[in-house]
Amino acid sequence: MKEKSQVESIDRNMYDFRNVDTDNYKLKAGLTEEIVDKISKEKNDPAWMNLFRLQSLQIYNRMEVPNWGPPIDGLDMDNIVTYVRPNTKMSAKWSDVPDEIKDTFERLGIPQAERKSLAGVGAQYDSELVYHNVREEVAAMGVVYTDLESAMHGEYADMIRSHFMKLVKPTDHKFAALHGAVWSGGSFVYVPPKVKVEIPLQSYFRLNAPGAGQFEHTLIIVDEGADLHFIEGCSAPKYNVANLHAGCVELFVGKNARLRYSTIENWSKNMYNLNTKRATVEEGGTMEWVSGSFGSHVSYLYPMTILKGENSRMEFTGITFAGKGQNLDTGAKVVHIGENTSSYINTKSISKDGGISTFRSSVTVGKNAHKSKAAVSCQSLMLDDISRSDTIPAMDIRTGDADVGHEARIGRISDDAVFYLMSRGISEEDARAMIVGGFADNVSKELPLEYAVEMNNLIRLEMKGAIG
Amino acid sequence: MTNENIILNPLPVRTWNSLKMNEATYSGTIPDDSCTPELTKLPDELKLTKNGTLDNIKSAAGEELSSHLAGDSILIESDSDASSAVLNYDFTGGKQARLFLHAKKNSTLPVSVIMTGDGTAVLEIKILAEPGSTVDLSVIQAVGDSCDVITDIGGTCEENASFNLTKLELGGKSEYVAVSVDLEGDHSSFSANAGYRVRTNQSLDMNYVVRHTGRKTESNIFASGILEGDSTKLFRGTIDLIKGCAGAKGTENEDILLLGDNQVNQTIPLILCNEEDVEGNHGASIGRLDENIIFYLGSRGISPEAAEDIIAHAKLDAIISHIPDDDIKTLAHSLISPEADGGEDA
Repeated sequence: MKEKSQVESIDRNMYDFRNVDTDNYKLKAGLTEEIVDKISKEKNDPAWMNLFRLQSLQIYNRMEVPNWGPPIDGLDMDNIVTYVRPNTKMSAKWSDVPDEIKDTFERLGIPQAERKSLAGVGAQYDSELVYHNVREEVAAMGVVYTDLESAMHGEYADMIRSHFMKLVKPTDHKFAALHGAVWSGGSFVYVPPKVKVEIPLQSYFRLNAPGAGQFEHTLIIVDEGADLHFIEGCSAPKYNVANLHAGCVELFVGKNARLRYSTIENWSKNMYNLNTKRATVEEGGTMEWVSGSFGSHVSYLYPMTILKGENSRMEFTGITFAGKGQNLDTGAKVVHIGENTSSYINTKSISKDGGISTFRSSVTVGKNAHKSKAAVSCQSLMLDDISRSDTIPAMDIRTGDADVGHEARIGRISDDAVFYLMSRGISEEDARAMIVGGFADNVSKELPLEYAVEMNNLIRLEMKGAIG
Repeated sequence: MTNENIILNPLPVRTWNSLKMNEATYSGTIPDDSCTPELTKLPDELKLTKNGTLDNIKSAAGEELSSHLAGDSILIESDSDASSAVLNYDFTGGKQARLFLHAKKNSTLPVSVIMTGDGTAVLEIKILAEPGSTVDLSVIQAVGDSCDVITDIGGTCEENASFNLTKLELGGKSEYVAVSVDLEGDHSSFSANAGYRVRTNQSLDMNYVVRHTGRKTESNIFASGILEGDSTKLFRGTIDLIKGCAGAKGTENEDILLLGDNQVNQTIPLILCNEEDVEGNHGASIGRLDENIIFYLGSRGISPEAAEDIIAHAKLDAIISHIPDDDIKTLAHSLISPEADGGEDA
């Protein structure tokens, strides 16, 4: 138990530190037309966006909360502050970012990562971006990486208007409508035809204010033949009140283009993470998702890919680690529309200390998706008998010449494997951590080294104190 | 006659409503008339009681159906190593039937049920397998191609008891199959071999649910079928590994052959687990006939259409091989033969 208390303190140091919630501008809690209008004014929205927000609010008010998935009774929108503006403007220099906020991102390792291994960084603190920068040589190739609000008023205004919430419509579900009404912050990325961005771009989202929501919108367009790796990270300190994350990610992958979207999510364990991510892929394009879900009290997260063009493909690699007090409902969706499309969903989930992990997926193969191939593999590991692990995969196949396979497995750590490692002088705790680390290998090997190390650290921290 | 929308086959844990897989809605009629079976075989060692019932056996068809089932019933009990009973139900005109099977301690109870006739067919079968007993149930559904069919099978297995189900779906226009099994006793087991051939304009909606509560319990669900033309099939399969079922193992597999190009083929296999020391596995394979097989059979002078038919029959033959009663096995073979299909050789 001593080891466990040490670990909790390490965990808090790494992600759970907080800044005093005073030096900012907040709207009052709740969700009304007046609040949505105020956000719109704060953002200097064009008229169409103001109208879009108000229409989304009406849709939100009409829609019911989902009658499936983990309970979200603890989330009361009347208590959620939908807009918190830090007392600073967005800058392209870390030196211009207020010390307290800069220190937050320093402790999360963002500026260091930018120097070492990233082509550009966006850092959002509560509802607004505080830092956004892209390397000169990347910008020189025509790559646009900026905040969505600025882009909405610049030369890409029409492009944004024609893409914004066209993939994820406010009518999709209640929290998509909520997002449409109160979204703030997030990034816009445009990669021109045939441009290959060799090193990743990264956005990091930090929610510091207690009882607040974060609703950033990420819109990425990778044009014909282009290539991009985008990394998203998120964390927040833990409070005793519910926080909400209802972000939205819309990805447009052009003909023969490739986009890899990696996420390491480590929200605090009071967070309701009701996030929506969706991609559409044109002919010959490739969409790759790498997803690690470690944080949140409740998560609903199912990145969806629409394989629209012929020969387009998708790969989803994910891991979910549900510990004490967590109910993480994660998975993926894919819709095959074009001929000869292919998808592969490969997930691992781990449940421990009473955590609930649910893998939920859907594979839909349409009438015209001839010769398409889809495979789903999900493996779940139960680390004790007080946790829960469910798998709910759905398949809907509407063409005769599709080739669809699915396999799911739920089990425990093999006693033989633990015994073998212990016979080599490794403690039981370390043996179990090693086995879980190996179980998660499919995800870590898909991440850049720095992020794989971070993910393995998270697993190690979660596993410490798992014995007894 | 009752005509209303009845919710059938609810998924034990809901998922996205847009998939339309959470439950089925039956909009036809539930006949009030009772169907009395013809007892083709009833060995002396089995005891038959008219209007006998069994209580507290759960259903996977849903509560709404249960409230419509109040017709005559039959209870068959076994307290020894019994030979096979065969019951023929003719649902012509639209009928409902209730059958209760009770295998007492250390007994065996092999029963075959044949469903025929032209009319809406609603059959409820409830099973109690006491400690050490074995129930072998074969159900062959061969009602007319224009009929609605609802089959609701529920069973409870006590310690060391086994319930083996072989189910063949060959007829009907809209068919709903619900199978619910509680493996309550330690070391109890359930195996299901379900075969189906769903033809153009037909639909099949299945809901198999196995709850493991006893320790070292084992379940194995295997569904194998053929979808033709614009047929529709939805398979829901749930293995629920409930806390306390240490050492339990649940497996479900589905193997689907698609013949044609306009099918709606839906599958949702759930594994629910809140016990550490268990194993749950699922596998599904959906696709057309392997081109290598077509090529091989073609090189032996067999046309692609004939090759598809050979493989389709082979899939159903594999299911039929699990029927314990040889006479019923023969009957099942005759029902899937090319003559019965109205095929080339007819």
